Amino acid sequence: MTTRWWIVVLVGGAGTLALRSSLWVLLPAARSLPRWLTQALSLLPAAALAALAAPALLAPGGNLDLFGPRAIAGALALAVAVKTRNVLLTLVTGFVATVALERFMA
Amino acid sequence: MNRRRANKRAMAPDAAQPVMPLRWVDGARDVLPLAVGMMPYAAVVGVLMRDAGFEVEFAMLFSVLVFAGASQIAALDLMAAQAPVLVVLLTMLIVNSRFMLYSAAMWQLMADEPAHRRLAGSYLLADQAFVVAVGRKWTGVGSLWPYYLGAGVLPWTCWQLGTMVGALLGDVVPSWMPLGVALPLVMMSIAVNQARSRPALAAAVVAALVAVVARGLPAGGGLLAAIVVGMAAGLATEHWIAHRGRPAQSGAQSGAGA
Repeated sequence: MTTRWWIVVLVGGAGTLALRSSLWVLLPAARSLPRWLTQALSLLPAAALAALAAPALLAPGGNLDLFGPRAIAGALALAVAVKTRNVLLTLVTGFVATVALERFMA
Repeated sequence: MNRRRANKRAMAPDAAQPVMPLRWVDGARDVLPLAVGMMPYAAVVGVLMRDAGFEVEFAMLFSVLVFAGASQIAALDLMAAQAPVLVVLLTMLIVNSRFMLYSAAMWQLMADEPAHRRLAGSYLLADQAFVVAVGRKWTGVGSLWPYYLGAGVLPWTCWQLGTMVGALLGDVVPSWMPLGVALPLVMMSIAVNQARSRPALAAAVVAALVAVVARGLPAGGGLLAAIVVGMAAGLATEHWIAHRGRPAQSGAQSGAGA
């Protein structure tokens, strides 16, 4: 492998671990965080997941496609998720709908 | 042991039903749909590494040391375009900067664990383990460590297996299988389960909108902007709910909201 890649893998790995361990390892003494920060952090999972999922469904490949197969399948899956709160059922619904719509709309 | 996360339900269990500490199998079971959902994505990253001329051993080293798909794809992209190594590294760190936020949120749950567990746990900290560990129904009894370990090791294993299969076999999946859609579907579903309160719902909706609008920003900047703006929207909603109906006090306690 090239030296360039070795540097990327080793330094990138170390840097990523540093980001992951930042507040656990570097600040063990900071026992109490301010209230607004703990509130903000409790909102983090919902915000992060929505931010990861939305572009992949509404703009697959980078271009906005609000009525494309993935957006429609995503809307169907969203309805199932809200109604049932069942992850597996949501996944199966969205996946089958995507397969069907991508064939149908192609 | 007045843990701040212990909510009223957990502190007042039914007398007939003793509260059990969470085991590692509970964590593994809760993370299972996410871990399975990430395998096709892992296989795609493996195929990309194979296409970039990686030997399987080096591909595995990359996946084990970095263990973060989006940044691995970004690095492969930029290296193929002959970008300077410094640019590649900076991009990877920006793409992975959400782990710093995760770390801050998780740290409160792990504060009582010894240092070696915190270090090992931080290595396993990815989207999947984080979401499950923070969203779990903690019983308020015992350490969260076994549960977190179960929620962390399973996605790690799926990621390594998936990239290895991709790097070994290349493109073996039929092209009509929309594999890329599995992970966002699972993430959306868990986001719905997370967004039970109005502030969390506001955070999710705003984050989704910003992520779509700002998707073109380089180096994952759109993702980070979406998370931060979404959290701010959630805080604003919380503030608004807390101070609705008692406007006379709004000035005195505004420090908590802004």
